[in-house]
Amino acid sequence: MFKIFLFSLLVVLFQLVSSELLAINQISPDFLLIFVLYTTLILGRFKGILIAFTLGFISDLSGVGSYFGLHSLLLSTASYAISFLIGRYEKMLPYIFYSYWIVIILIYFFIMAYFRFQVLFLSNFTGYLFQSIYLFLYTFTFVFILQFFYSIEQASHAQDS
Amino acid sequence: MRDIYTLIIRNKDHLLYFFVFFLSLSLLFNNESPNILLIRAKANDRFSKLYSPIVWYKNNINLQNEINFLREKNIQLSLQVDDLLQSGLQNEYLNELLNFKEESIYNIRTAKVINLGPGPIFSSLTIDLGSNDGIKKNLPIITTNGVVGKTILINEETSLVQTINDVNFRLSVKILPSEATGIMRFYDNDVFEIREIQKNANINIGDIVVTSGFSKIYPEGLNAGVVTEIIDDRGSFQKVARSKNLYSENYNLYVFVVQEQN
Repeated sequence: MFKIFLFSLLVVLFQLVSSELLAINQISPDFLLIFVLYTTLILGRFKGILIAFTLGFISDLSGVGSYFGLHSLLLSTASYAISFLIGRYEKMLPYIFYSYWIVIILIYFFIMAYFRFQVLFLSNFTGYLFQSIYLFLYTFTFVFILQFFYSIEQASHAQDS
Repeated sequence: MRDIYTLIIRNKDHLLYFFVFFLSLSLLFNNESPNILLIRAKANDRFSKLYSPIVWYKNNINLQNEINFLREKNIQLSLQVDDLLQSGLQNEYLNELLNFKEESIYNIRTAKVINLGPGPIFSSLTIDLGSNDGIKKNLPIITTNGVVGKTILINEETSLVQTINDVNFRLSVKILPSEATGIMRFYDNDVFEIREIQKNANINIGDIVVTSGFSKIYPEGLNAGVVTEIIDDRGSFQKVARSKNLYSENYNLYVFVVQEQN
């Protein structure tokens, strides 16, 4: 557990460094979400939620203007939702399996964007949708690249092996 | 009793989720609580020490860009100096004629940006000045491009700045030359919306947006953007303007804290 905690801290540090270097239009990829996605599938629901909440809390502590606690809420919810995929690859149709975690990431960013772009949500819903999808796609690009090295499908089997 | 214990053990995952869910919600609803603010300020100070190698690396990377930017700015400013010198002499002469007192500007301090926060959407930044340097809550943060935000959390060595693209940030502004006033808030990327503008206000695209001075935080006349769009609905009693603000273009390294007005 200590190793995981250390690794989690490294991920937070990586997020801090990369968020500035990779930022486009003030938006950067959410590596914490990717990490939570994988750790939940690999380590199980209990540890996954615990790590997700801790990472979210650290992330909120290390600098956020408003909505302190939002990141921990969203990450732990994403972790809880994704945990239903553990060991389910064989029991589910592949397209449902993939759609499920993609939709979770999408909803995560829709909620995140709603809190950050409230004026846009109220006055220009299409703009809000585009902003959310842009947020989603930026992080999803990295998730997609990761699939070639260690796929979600493999991670969901990790507990069985 | 044993059954309850078994039930808890069997459903510990779900119970943990509900616990962290309500804990996060309570954090969200207690954003302004003094205890939460204290924890955030302390944590921010600790994190700043963790960032120091990152800041050093970032500074080295960005230094060349900063030098180029300053060179360009220097040339622009030196061109403006000639005009200003002439205007200054004229102004001095007119002031003498009108017996005006000399008005000094603000006491400005340079602060290094330590980090922009880890979230996928930036809404804050941390600077390397804190209460030891005389920084207080609600001090304006500016760059050469205008208003960037205000200090919200102060610790001994660092301060957290709420940037103007935070969803809860509001700025009282006026649009020049008409002097129409309004409330500016974040809209999208570098676009901001100015609401509460009087219906009969004569504003045009390209007008300059500056702080109104009505707020206790921001002095009058700080640059806040340029009007890019005007929305004038028939059914509405007020006009809405959208402005573009280049606040984010050069706050990667340094910002300025307006400490007090002399």
